[in-house]
Amino acid sequence: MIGFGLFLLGFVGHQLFVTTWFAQQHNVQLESEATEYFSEAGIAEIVYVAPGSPEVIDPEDPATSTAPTTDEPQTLLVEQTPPDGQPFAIIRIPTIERLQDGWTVVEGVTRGNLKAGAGHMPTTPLPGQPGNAVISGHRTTYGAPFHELDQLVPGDLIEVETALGVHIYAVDETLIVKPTAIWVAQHRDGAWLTLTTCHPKFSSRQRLVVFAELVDGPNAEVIVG
Amino acid sequence: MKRLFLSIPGPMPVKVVVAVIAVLILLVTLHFTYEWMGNTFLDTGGGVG
Repeated sequence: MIGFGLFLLGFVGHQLFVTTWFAQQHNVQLESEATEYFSEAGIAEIVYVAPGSPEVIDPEDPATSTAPTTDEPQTLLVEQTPPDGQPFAIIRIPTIERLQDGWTVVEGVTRGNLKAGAGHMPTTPLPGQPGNAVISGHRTTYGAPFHELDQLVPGDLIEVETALGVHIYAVDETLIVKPTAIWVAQHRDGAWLTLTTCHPKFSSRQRLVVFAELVDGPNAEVIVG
Repeated sequence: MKRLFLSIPGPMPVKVVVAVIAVLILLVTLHFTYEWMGNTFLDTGGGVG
């Protein structure tokens, strides 16, 4: 009985303190690697036309033709896709104390990737690009970067620094979903950032999801207008 | 605990080395066990799908 108690006590101490200590040490190193990556990452300019913009005219039924929704193609900045495990971004949330100084985001969401604290889902676009960029992070262990994510309210700003510059998103909506709710990572028109973490705290029973829309940054004017 | 230590065969330096190795193995095993338990039951990292 005493042995089992010590085992559980050790578990709690390990999860709260040991994993966090390792993550914080790791994060210091990853942050300098990310900063280095900013100067090395390949950046290109591509011609971007907002979805739905080409005028489609059906000769048999002109009534169903769609009108153009944007004027002219514009130049979008894109960066190369980082390799798995590469620290490539820093996320900052001014209204959350532990994220005011920033937390490094690595490419990938495997258990190994997420030991660093936050990971970008590789099947989704990078932050600052059109579509829905998804970043996941621990809620209670490994530095718990997303511990206070439930405190975000619509309008709060989220900054993601990448090789392109700082992309600023405004929180739109917060949801609680099942861990299997893959639809939260589906494509969205415009440029979105979706943050996911475990919910409630100290449980992986559900997911807390925060949707935020791009409002400023190197590509904001091109994508959002 | 003392009895367990004394039951290790060999002279005192050997007992100490064996005990240190045994403790290290125990700590490493505990670390991976705790990691697995944490990742499975407490906080999977927040990914979806």
